[in-house]
Amino acid sequence: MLTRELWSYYQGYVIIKVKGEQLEEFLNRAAAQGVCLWDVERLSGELLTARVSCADFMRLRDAVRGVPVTVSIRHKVGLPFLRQKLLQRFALLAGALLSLACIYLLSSVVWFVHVEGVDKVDYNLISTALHEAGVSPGVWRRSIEPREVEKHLLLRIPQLAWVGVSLRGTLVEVTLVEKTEISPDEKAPGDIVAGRSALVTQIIPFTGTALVQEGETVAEGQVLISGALDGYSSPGKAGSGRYLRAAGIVRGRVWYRGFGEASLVSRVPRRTGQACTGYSIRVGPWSWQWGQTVPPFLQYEEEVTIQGLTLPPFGWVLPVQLETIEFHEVVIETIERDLETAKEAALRRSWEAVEARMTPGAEILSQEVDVTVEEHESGVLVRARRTVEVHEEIGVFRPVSFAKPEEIGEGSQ
Amino acid sequence: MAKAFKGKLLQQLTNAFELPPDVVLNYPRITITGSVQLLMENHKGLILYEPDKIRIRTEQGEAVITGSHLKIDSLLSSEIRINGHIDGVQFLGSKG
Repeated sequence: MLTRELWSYYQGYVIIKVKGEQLEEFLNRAAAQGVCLWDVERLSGELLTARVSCADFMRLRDAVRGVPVTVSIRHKVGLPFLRQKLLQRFALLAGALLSLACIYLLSSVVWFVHVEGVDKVDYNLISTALHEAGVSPGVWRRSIEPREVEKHLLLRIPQLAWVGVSLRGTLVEVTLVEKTEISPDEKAPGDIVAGRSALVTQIIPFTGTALVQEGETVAEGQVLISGALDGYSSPGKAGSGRYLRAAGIVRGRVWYRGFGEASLVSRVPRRTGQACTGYSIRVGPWSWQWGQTVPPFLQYEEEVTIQGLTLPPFGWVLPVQLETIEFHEVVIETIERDLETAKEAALRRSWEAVEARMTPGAEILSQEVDVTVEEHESGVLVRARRTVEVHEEIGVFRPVSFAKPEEIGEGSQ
Repeated sequence: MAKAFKGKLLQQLTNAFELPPDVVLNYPRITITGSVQLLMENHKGLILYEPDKIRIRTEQGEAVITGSHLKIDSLLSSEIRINGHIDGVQFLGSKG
């Protein structure tokens, strides 16, 4: 049924209205003439509607001859009539074609280039390389050959391991995977030297030669494990300067000294609760201010909050900024502490001073604390001196510098 | 009388040779799908078309189709297709 309807729509048909008394006779005559009528419907005793193809409608005239009926057209349906109508309205047709052409043209241009996976490589380098490969907003889609772009990027930027370029509509998606490179610093030859002055308790060389013994005292910077290959080199090539990257574990006892002091009297600012607020709004280069913009207090704290307006669905930042400045009045209060609290504070500070220099996770062997109370004109001061003995890793890697070859193995002498 | 005799003879011959009567005798062939569609081949023209009754001339006399909302879906010189709700088909004044 659908095929018949589509076919008749394509060919064009008319819906006719037949009026008269002998409608059956009309139908019989039409059928006898070979005119195909369909969807014949009797609306009343003297009226029926039917559908007939354009070609058959012309032949219907012969069928009607001699039968007292009148045939009139109610509707013209189908493509031929539509085409005729469209041809009469040239501007509409031209507009439709033009807009189709516009859509086609606009969709065959690359509008967006998205690059994903950039981490360490400079983005500008990638965008320049993409530019060279002919990928930038505004170029024709057809001019982009994804495989070629991938090749170009890989050749141009050696830090890349893989490049995927795909065209999705007007969007070019570039997905990058960077090589995980071991930086030259981590491969450079060098020695393990003492990070701090210590008493060596344990030395395990993985690579290189140990130059110190357990129980020896070493100074900061002294070479502990040497990466020099002199000992192993063939007799003819003695001192050829071949160097390894020394590695190993060196642990030793280290002493740290820390110092902390605390006063019995301390001065703390406290807010009185008096506050006032000033506003300023900035639109591009212009700004307006209102409220309290000059602080009315002698001593005060200032809090500034800046709010930028954004359009959430698009993520646009509008060039409008609202600045709120709050002034809080403060008074300086002096707080007196008792001796114990001050001592605690001094001890804590001395520990903090030691902890800052210590290797994390060091094993503490012993501690000595010396607390003194001193009188000054400004008040009483509590001072704490702390000596901590720890057992920790003291080896630090130092790359060898080939520019001064005479310095190699300096620590071993 | 002669025509009737010829008709009878043809019918007997058709029976004897097991020929399809719609082809040899030009009898109407009616296909009814459920109660919604009726297709009649070998019709001889419409006598009456009303939404609840259609009378069709056939070789065997007059066929009356009764029903409601009857609509002629297509009408060709030898074939008529009727849509709508069909209640019954009756042959009137059939010869032989």
